[in-house]
Amino acid sequence: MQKKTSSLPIIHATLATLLLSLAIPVLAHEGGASTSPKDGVTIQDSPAEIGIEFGGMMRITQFEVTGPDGPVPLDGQPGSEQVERYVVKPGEILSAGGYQVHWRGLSDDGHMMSDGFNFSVEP
Amino acid sequence: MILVAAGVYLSALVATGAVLFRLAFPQLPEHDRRHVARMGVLAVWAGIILILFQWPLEAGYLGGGNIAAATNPMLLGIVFEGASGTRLILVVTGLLLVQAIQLNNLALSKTANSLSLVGVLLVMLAFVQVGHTVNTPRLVLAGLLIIHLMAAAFWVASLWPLFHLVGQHYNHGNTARILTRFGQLAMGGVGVLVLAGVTLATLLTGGLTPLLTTAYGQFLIGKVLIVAVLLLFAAANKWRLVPAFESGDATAPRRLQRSIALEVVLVVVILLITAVLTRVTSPNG
Repeated sequence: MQKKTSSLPIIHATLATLLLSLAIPVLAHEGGASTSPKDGVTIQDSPAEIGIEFGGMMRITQFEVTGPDGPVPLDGQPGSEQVERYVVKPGEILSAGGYQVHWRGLSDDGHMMSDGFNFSVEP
Repeated sequence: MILVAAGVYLSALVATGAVLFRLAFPQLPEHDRRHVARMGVLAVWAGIILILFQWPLEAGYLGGGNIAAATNPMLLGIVFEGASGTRLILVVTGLLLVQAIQLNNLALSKTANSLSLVGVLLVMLAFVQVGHTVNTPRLVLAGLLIIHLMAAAFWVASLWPLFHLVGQHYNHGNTARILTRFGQLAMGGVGVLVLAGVTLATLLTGGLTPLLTTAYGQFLIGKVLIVAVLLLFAAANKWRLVPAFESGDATAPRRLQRSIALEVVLVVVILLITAVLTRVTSPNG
């Protein structure tokens, strides 16, 4: 009967290791993505382009820019092929105010990604 | 989506682990063998249904989180063409093959066992299609993760059968033998899990500095802290339950059952957390 209990700490230890191991797949990703305009900046004029650059290949499936007047029309969207740099042009001159960019995509290693950034245009 | 992902992980681990458990315990009583078989079949079909359901869910997420996106042929195509599609094919094929072990109920035939083991391997291969183990050195990382997952699957699938065995009031001798063997196998399994886990962590993070400086690394440290708490909990259980068993405490089996039930709950929680972290991540952590 004593042997029964010997499996208990082993079960716990295994559980602990499983916990550790399952965290591993989330380790550093296409890190260091840079955006245009930079996240959080205030720019003087309407930007010529809005985009994001990744550390690896990314398939963007959604890219939206929302401003004070609602969704911003975008030109030159590259589609959903794999890219390292995804850039669009605003379909209109951006008026003063805050803008939020949201995107979703599929990374090269199969992870679904979602992120965004903000910038402001000075009055 | 998170629930479905966690369900896929759990189903795949239980379905494959049930095969490993049956092969590890050929002397399992008929009643318990049928019990493990039922658990395996249930896990197989739950896994197949869930991973098929995951396909439109992923398309829906990529298209902005709406039903129209979930049924958009282009988005469904993008998901299927990618690593997720490969994983889906491997999981479904693997889980169907895993059931081969059910073909021979009375004696484990070599062919059925081999087919089931091929199925187990396919399901494990599916898990290395998505995530950081696709990076270089891929063979090493994938190999480590497969060994790691097989040990985890064996353990996860063992919980429910052990729970039943402990609760039986007959054939104590056989139950004790099975538990002893499980203890021996689990000891080896823990070694493999730790070794593979530490090696994977080292290879993937690139050392101590990234652990401290990246959000992912900090999260991993947080996980290790939870691990430490769990080990303390394990030690406390050991010191409380061992004397109870030694003194022939009649409540000991029930307490052991409760402890195993807690393990099951914790596994579910861990898989849910894992699903949150592996399904939806951002480049900046």
